[in-house]
Amino acid sequence: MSKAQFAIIGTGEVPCGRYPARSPLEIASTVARLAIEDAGVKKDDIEAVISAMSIMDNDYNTEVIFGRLPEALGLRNCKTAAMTVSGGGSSHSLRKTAEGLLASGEAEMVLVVHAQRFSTFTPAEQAEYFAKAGADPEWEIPYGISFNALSGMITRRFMHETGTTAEQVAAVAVSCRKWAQLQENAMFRKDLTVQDVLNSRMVSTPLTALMCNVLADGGSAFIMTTAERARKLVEKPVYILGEGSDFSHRNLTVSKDLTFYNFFKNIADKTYNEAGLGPEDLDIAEIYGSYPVIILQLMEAMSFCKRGEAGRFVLEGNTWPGGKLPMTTTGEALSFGHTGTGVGISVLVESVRQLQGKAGQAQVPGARFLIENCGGGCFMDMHAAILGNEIP
Amino acid sequence: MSTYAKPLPSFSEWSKPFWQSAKSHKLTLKKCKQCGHIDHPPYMFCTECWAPEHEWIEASGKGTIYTFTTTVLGAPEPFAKDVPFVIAMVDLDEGVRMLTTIVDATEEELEIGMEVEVVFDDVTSEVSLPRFRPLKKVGAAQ
Repeated sequence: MSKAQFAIIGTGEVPCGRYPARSPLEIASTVARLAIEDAGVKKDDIEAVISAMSIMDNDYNTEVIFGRLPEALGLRNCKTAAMTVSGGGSSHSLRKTAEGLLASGEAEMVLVVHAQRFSTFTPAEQAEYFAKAGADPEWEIPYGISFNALSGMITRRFMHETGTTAEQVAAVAVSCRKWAQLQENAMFRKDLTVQDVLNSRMVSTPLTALMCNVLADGGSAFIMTTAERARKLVEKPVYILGEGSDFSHRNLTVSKDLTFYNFFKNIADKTYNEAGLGPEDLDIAEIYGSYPVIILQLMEAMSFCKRGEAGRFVLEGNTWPGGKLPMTTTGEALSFGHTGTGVGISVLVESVRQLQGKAGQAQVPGARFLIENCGGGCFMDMHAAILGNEIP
Repeated sequence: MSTYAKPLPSFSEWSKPFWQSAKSHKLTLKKCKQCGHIDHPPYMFCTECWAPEHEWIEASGKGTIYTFTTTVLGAPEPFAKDVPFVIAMVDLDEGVRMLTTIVDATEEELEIGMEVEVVFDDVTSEVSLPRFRPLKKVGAAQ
């Protein structure tokens, strides 16, 4: 695939948090409209709508599968309405589906939409879902596994192999909070210190509550077209310059290395090679890990830090506002809110806003190139992309 | 006798022998007869070479701790009363890794790399769950 074939030209987003009165269709309608208006195109320019899957909400998913969105939005030229899902890695598979439609000529303008409401489910239902989301019913669930326990085990192993400390792990949550404080739509915006994180209740060792995620209602959308068309439509198209993907496992016990170093690094290197850029060329690292340990592992695998050094790098303040490597400027799932399949999409949408110069208070001045990534629930895969508002 | 209220493993056709052996307090693994690859979890055919011919070998029951965590909060509801409990990944001598719980030890007594051995928990009359405990050293005080 030749470089910079596709570009994202508009985005939309709604506030993230607890909004039980706000239906998923309301979210979808709002973000889709915002994205179409942001792109400066007309609703009838949209030729395909690809939706993310909503977690737990089968009613909304059914509606989407049966084509509710093109009708609700009045998209008179929409030829394809479909759902694409790969858990937390959905921003990748949604983007690739859009790329496929564009590359085949089936559509020249694709709308991607995510909408999620958790808050109408009871806290017990949500806790039950998220506690063992993606856990194996035969080999894991009978032992009382929870998602936080899986991440606790990964965190312990990483700390053991690299000497990363609990303080450094906590610093990742602090870095995310500092960025969330600059995001109007973020769920958690109160001041947070490393000590606050360490002092919060122990959940599954060594993870404390403030190192874990909270489910949130939210949604976002983006418009993708060909690079050629994008140049005619907007001042700053956000080009997809390089991509890399790989799949690891279903059961975490099958992955030989819980620090995922080589696994992540091979994907990152491929992405850099395809873009013709290195980590030193990037202005922002929009890293999505969902847990601090994955973020640290990705920082090292993306060659921003040597192995074992990412924790110290974060603790020293290098990734938060004002630091030399702005990282995950949404505040990530940890502070922006965990919207199921939507976290990666919100990070991608923020990536686009940063490169368009539309990131408001969170804007990294003069941002030209960045790397973003996503991955599925049980850390089963990783997908990275380098985006830029120029072609290097 | 109280009924076991926690989720039981849902077997498949190809994993049944594992659970039948576990019921007899034997730890077994599915090994390919063509290429020798051991699949854990087991699947319909060898994931390495796709051969269906396989045998169930008896594992030594010994391994080392690869990593562990003690769940204190947020355990799924059926396990809420069991906290704190230790979940671990154990590297069996046969070269595969299992997820399990560690018994007869608190977190303070555990270390990555520590040797452990399997014990079987007869949770129902039909199902026994393999768990692991630290290997007792010869001459250690009882």
